[in-house]
Amino acid sequence: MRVKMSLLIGVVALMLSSCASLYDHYTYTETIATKIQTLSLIDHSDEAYTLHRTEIIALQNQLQKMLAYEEGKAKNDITIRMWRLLNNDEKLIKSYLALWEEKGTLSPVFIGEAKPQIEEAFDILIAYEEKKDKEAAATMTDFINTLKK
Amino acid sequence: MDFDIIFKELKEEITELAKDKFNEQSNAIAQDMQEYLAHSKEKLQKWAKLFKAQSIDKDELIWLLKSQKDLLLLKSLQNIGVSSISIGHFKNKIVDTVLSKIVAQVQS
Repeated sequence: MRVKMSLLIGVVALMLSSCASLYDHYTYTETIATKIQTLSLIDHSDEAYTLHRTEIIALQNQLQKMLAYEEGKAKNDITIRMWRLLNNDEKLIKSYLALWEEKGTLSPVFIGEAKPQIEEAFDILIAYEEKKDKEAAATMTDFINTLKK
Repeated sequence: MDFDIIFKELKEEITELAKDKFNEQSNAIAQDMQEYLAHSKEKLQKWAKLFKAQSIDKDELIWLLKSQKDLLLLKSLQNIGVSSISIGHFKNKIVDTVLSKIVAQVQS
């Protein structure tokens, strides 16, 4: 029994140390929620920026929350870099919000071109999370089940 | 606006990034990214036309061009990460195979 337990600990340690970052369902669902929140706000950017301050602050907080969450995970360099980009004042979402604030309102033609860009950014993050290591988690479960037999 | 120069610079930057961050599979990543660049070219040409027709202003054009560059960066990160995951799967399979054999020995 002691041998099995030692082996089990060893297996888990080895698998965790060898694998890339694991799939995280919270990250997956929150990324989708953040995408919806962002695109919904963009739909209103033909209206005055000042009318939407509350939603804008809520979105900025959500972006920061996601970055802080991802930074708390080990072996997560790529996802952290992606969220840092989405939190960068000079890039995509934050620069879109800055342009909106500067101009007061944005034109429907521009919104029509900009929205798919931001949508694609989130789609890249979502697709990446989907590709993460579900297989490692499944392998670990199978292995533990083997030990239980 | 010389698209050929912009694309040449982007190709070089992406190839360098792939080499720097993921040496073993840099060729595959660079190939992937060049296909993505071809798709980007259509967008850039459309935005240039909108700007010329004064449907969007200079600030909006600049935002769109920068956004495409940001997407290229995200796409590069994604490709590098996916390659890394594939290697992780391979390592896990090796670990799993070796340890399964050990457990079988212990249990027998």
